[in-house]
Amino acid sequence: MNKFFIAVLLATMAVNSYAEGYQVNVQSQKNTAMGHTGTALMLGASSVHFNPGALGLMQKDYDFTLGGSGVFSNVTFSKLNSTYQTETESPTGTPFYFYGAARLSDRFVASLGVSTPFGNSLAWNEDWDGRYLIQDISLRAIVVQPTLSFKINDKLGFGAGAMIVLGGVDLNKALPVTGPDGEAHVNLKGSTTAFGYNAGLYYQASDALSLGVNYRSKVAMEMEDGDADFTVTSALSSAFPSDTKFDAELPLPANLTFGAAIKVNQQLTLAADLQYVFWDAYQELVFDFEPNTPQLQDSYNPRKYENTLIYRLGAEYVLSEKLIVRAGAYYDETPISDDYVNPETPGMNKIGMSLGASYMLTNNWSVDASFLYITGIERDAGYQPANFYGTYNSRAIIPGIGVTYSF
Amino acid sequence: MQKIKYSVLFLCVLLFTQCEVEYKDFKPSNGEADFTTYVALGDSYTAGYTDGALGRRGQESSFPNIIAEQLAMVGNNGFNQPLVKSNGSVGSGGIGYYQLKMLINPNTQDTSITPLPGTGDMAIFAEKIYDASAPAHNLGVPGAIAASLLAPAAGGNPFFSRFSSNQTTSVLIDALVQDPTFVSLWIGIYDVLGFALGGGEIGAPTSPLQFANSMGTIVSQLFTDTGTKGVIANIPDIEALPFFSYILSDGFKPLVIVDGDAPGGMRQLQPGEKVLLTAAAALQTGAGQSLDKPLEAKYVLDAQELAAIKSATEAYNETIKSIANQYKFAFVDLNALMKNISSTDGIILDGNKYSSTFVTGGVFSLDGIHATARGSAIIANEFIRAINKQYNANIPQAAINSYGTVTYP
Repeated sequence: MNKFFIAVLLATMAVNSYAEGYQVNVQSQKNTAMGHTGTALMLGASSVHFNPGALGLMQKDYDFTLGGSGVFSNVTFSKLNSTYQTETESPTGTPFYFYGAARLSDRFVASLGVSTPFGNSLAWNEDWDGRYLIQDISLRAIVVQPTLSFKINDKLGFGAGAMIVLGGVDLNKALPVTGPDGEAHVNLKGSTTAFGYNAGLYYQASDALSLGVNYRSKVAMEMEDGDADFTVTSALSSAFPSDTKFDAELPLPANLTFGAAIKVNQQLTLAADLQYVFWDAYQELVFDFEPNTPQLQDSYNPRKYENTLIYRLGAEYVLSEKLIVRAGAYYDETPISDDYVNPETPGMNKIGMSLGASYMLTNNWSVDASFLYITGIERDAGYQPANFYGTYNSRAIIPGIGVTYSF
Repeated sequence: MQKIKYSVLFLCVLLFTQCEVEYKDFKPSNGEADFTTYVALGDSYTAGYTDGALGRRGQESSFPNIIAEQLAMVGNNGFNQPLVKSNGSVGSGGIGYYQLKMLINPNTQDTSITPLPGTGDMAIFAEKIYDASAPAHNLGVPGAIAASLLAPAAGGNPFFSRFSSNQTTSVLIDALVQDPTFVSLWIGIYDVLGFALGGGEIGAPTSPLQFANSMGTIVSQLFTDTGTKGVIANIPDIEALPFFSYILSDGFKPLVIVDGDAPGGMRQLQPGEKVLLTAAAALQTGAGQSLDKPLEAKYVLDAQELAAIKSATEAYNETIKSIANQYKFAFVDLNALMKNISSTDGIILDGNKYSSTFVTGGVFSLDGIHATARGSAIIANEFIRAINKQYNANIPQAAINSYGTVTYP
């Protein structure tokens, strides 16, 4: 198994589009296995992401967990009124996470999270029909989150952390200008560091019932002086200068999540989360090129995302002292209306179904595994500003594994 | 551990068996029309004339050939084109394909990209490629007017003698012999274009009555058999073509032009009058800038000439529309399409914006009149849309981005 872990951690940090918009639903194997619930759950250090308030009531002194997933996703496109069909050849995504929590005193717990809650990696064929919109894109955002949690009383915990986001985007698109070597294309690459916060309250209403609320703020990823690298025939090189730079801003939306969990008996725990995603932060994507030429104007791309809800259900069952099994499901609404579905982020409503287990190797060590299957609900839609319409289908299969060490 | 290994194995099996994602399949249907034998009648546009000449590259992306590729899915039996045998091309003036070349001004060292004509392959006119066992379904004859389709040897047109069944036959006869089940007919622009290309100095547009007579004869003979169905297109206003709009596209210039009716035989160009693309070379040498060197009348369409072209075009289009109605043909409003393309906003299709801007617009080739391969595909899709509508068919559209535009050096 050691080799497998090393492979996961060393793999590229690109992640795939297996949640709606470009938000990712595999932040911890235990939570993923339960439909990615967790706002009212105490599953250990992963609460750094799901609800820092829960860590205020952490039972143990130390909890460390890390893991990663392999994302095998596929999107198909069937062009409107045409026999043209194609599918993505996206690279395997490898989202990962590390969370560590340590008790400082009776009331304070300090923790740190490193995770990839946003990302999008999608590769269409280079010469596909929608190449003027997008050929491939890799959007990555690694969140480093130092967090402090506080026990207000035996039933109420509060926690807050700073999100330091290391983000970047790398995309290619074709340009409708042909030279002796074929069509021109442009590579846009930029990176940035941006900031946000994550705060939550956790309330142990009774031995059986727990409630939680969590808010993760919007993060504005402002890219300045990104590189726009044009591959264009020499006769047109003055129209597309080689040292062109661009500015662009991509928002990572805020999330407000309410959760409840019930411990039905010693074995069974049920959880539900209602997650409100403030996608309306993403209204447009503007590439501000410098310098401009008559052929190279700034690119204005309306997105017009709308706020959405994600409904999550999860269950955990303690089979034996050694083995805990989990299952869950969620329904993730698309933030994209029918006339703004772009092949760069081909949004559709998605259903996620998950399974998983934790196996106690010793009193301190456990192995956590999850398996998430996401199916998109077929969508006839298009991107009106580019008059590009068709039918999108998608599916993702995401096995993941991790370890937890606690005492 | 054993269990985990087995689960990993199980997941791997799932990955390879469950990764097929669905597609939405297109369901082609011929509707009420029979596309077994499709024959295309028309002029340069039908023939696949592009970049100022006829050659295999343009023929392969002629709009009827693109339509036929789509009709193959709804029962078409194959579409033969009278393909040029050589690798060359030839235009009506004896030139070959225009190509974009980078020129360097020896005085200023400034570079510019300009279309220049190639060398025409005159041997193409001598080709005799008629094959009785596989006659051409694409009967487009470059430069043909409506009356040419009825005339023996298309009025002596060398593009027709290449593939005609004999030296005295007409385009219509060669079409009828094939007993077509479906016909596309797009003719008429050369009934005004011949006049317009010469700056209105020679001849006149075909009289609307004569045009109506020719068209009436063509369709009554083609469609006596009630089973034959068809699609007919109207003709665009020449003002939508870059050939007539490019020179003054940056704004009006009060050029000095020759006008025999004006005092002194010359006058200033009036707003709205058109300067032809062929004037480019003369303008570069200073023509039109002074009274000493007025721009020749053959490079200008004046208000009167434009009015004659406009009224003829409108009359032809009325004839075409009434034929479409009478015979219940599919009707393609290419005049509207070209108007949209030449509007300020252009049209946006599949991620790209198209306009009638010379060279860069995407639809028109380097001759400023005929379509690029992609322009042909856009035209083909208009035909397909009209056929689907009229005959309740479901013919798939061509993927226009698979076809090229102009190539830069």
